[in-house]
Amino acid sequence: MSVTTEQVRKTLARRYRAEKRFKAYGICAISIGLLALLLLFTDIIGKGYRAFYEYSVALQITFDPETLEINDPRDLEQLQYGNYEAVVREALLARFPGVEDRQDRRALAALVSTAAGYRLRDMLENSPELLGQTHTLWFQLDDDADMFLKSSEAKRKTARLSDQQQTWMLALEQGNEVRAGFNHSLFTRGDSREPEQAGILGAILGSFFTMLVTLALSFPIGVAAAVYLEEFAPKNRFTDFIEVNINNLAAVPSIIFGLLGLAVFIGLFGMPRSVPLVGGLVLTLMTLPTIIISSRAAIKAVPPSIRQAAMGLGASKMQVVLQFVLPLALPGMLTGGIIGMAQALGETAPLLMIGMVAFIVELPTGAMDAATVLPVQVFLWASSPEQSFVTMTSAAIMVLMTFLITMNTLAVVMRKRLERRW
Amino acid sequence: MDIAEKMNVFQDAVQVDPRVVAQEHMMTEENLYIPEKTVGAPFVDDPKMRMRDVNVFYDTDQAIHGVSLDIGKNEVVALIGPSGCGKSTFLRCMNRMNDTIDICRVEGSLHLENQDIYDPKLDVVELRARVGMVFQKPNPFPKSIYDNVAYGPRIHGLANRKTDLDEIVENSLRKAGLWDEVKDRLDSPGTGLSGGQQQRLCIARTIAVSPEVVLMDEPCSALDPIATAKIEELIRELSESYTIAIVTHSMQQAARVSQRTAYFHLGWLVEMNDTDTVFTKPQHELTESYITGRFG
Repeated sequence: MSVTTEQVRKTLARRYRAEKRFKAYGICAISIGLLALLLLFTDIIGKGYRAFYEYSVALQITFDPETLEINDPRDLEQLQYGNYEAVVREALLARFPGVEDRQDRRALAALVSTAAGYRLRDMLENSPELLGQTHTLWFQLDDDADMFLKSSEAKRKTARLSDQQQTWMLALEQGNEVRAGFNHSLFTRGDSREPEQAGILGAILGSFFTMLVTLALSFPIGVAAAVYLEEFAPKNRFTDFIEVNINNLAAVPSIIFGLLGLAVFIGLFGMPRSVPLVGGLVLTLMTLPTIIISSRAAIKAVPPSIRQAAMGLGASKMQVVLQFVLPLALPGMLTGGIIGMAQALGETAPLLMIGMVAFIVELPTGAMDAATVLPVQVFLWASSPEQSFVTMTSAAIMVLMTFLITMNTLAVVMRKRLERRW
Repeated sequence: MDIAEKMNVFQDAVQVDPRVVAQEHMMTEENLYIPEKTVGAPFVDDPKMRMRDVNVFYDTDQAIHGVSLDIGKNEVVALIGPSGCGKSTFLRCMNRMNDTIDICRVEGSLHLENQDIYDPKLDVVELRARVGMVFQKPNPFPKSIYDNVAYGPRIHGLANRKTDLDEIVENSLRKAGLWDEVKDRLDSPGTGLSGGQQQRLCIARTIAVSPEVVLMDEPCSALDPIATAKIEELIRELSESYTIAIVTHSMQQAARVSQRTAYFHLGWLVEMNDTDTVFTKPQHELTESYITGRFG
C-alpha cells in the first residue's frame, strides 16, 4: 500500500465524519423549523376548532299575536316593531317555570342569542300563516352559554355564567334540549359585537376585493417595469438609480406605505376611507418591488442563446420579448406574483392606517364599500374581551392560513406545470 | 525561446479576455510580426460582402484592427485563428449581432452587395433576413420542430397560406438533411433532438428565410465527429446556393469545407488566400506557426 493511499484512508474517515456532522446540522435546522410550525398549528387549531361548531337550544315558540303585538303579519310596520324577544322569553319561562324575579328572568333570557328575535321576524315575514301557531325551533345560544357547553367539566366553573344560569344550562343539557351543529354564521356573516353572530365572510370579501385591486394593478405594472428595465432601458446612472430605489422600496416597513396611502389617496385624491380600493392601491405599492425583483430575475434567467437565435432570424426586440422572453420567464414571474399576493393578503399594518380597521357589519359588495380584511379581522377579534372571540380569532387565523397555504401551493404547482411545457 | 513559444506560454496564461491579450501585446515586440498589410489575396472581383478597414472596440479596447476582406458569391470562407483573435467578433459584425452589446462599437465600411450594413437607415430586421446566423451551441427554440423552422418565414410574412409554409418547412428540413429523421414527429419539441440534429434544425431554421449569406460561428464545436461530418457535408451542399462564412477552431474543417481561408491574429487579419495556399504554402510566419500547430 502506497503512502498516498494510507494518507487518503486516514483523512477519508475524518472527511466522512465531517460530512455526517454537516448533514446532522441540516436535519437539526429543519426539525426546529418543523417543530415551530407544529407548535403554531397545534396551538391555533386547538383553540380555533371550537369556533366551527355551535350549540343551539330547542324552544317551544308560540307566535302569540298578543305577546308579539302583531295582528297582521303582512303589515311591514307592525312586523318591524314586533316584540319578538318577549316570545322567546315566554318560551324560556315556560321551560323553567317559577322564575319570578326580574333579574333572574333577564338572566334566563340572556342565555339565548339576540339573533333569535331577528330570525322569528324573518320567519313571520316569509310565512305569515305562522301567527298563532306553536312550533319547536332551535335557537343559537348566547356566546357565554355556548362557551359553557363547549368547555370541559373543570373549566365550566370559571365560565362567565352565574350559578343560576349554569343550573339552567345543565338542565337543558341533561334534557337533550341542546345540540351542536356547524357554525354557519361564521362563514355567512360580517362582523358583530355578539360573538355568536359574528362571521368572517365580510373580511373574506374585503380581502378578496383588496386582492383583486392589488393583482390587477401590481402584476401588469410590475411585469412591465421589469421588462422595460431588463430589455429596453439604457444602462446608465439613471437606471442604476431606479434599480437601487426599487431595492430600497422592498425594504421599507409596510406601515410607511399605509401612511403614504393615507396622505396621498385619501388626503390628496379624496378617496373614501376603509375601502378595498385604497387598500388595494396601498398593497400594490407594497408588493410592486417584490414582483419587479422576481420578474427581473426570471427574465435574466432566460438563456441568451434563445434571444440570439430569434434576433439572428430577424425578430424585432418586441417579438423577442413577447414570443420568447415572456413565455419562458412567465413561471418565475407568476411565482413571484403569487408570493407577493400572499404577502399582501397577510398584511395588516398599512391597512390600519387607511381605516380598514373599522367595525363593519355589512358585507361589502364591491371595492368601494367599507370593509375590513382577514388579518385586520384577526387583530380586531384578538383585542376583544369576550371569551368566544378568542376561539374566533384562532378560527380566522386558520381560514387565513388556509388561503395562504393554498396560494403558495398554487405557486409551486403552477411553476412545475408551466416549466414542463418547455 | 522563440516568438511562437513565447506566445504559446502567454496564451496559456491569459485564456480569458481577448481584448486584454491584444492590449498587452501592443506593448511587446510580438506585434512587430503582425504585418502592416494583410498578406495574400483578401479581395475578389464582384464580392457578395465587402469589408474595408473594420475596427471594433469594446469600450476602449480594440478587438479588430483595420480588417479588410471580401467574401465572394457562393463561396465558403473560413475564419481561423487562435482563441480570442476576434474572428467571432468580426463574424458578428456582418449581421450586426454586435448591436446587442452596449459597449461594442464598429468602425469602417461593411457592404452586402451595394447595401451599407451599418447605414443608420437600414433596418437590422431586414439585414438579418438576408444574412442569417448559426451559433456555436445548438439553440433551438422551445417550440415544436415545425414551429422552429416556420418561425422566420412567419415573422417575415414569407408564407401566406398553410400549404406554402408547409412547403418551406419541408424544403428547409430537406436541405438541412433532417427531413427523413423528423418528418413523423414535426410536432415534438425541437429541444428533444440530439445535439447534431438540433444544430441541423438550427441550420434549417436559418435557411428557411432564404438568406443570401449564412454566418456560422463554430457550428460543430459542441458536436461529436459523426454529427460534425454531417454538418460539413451539409455546408458543402449549401454552398451551391448560399454564401457562407464560417468560424472554426478546426483547421481540418476549414480545409475540408472552405474555398478561401482568413487567418486572424490578435485582432489583425494576417493572411487570407485560397484555402489550399494557406494550408500548403502559408506566406506569413504567424500563419505557418498556427497551422503547423505550434500555438493556438
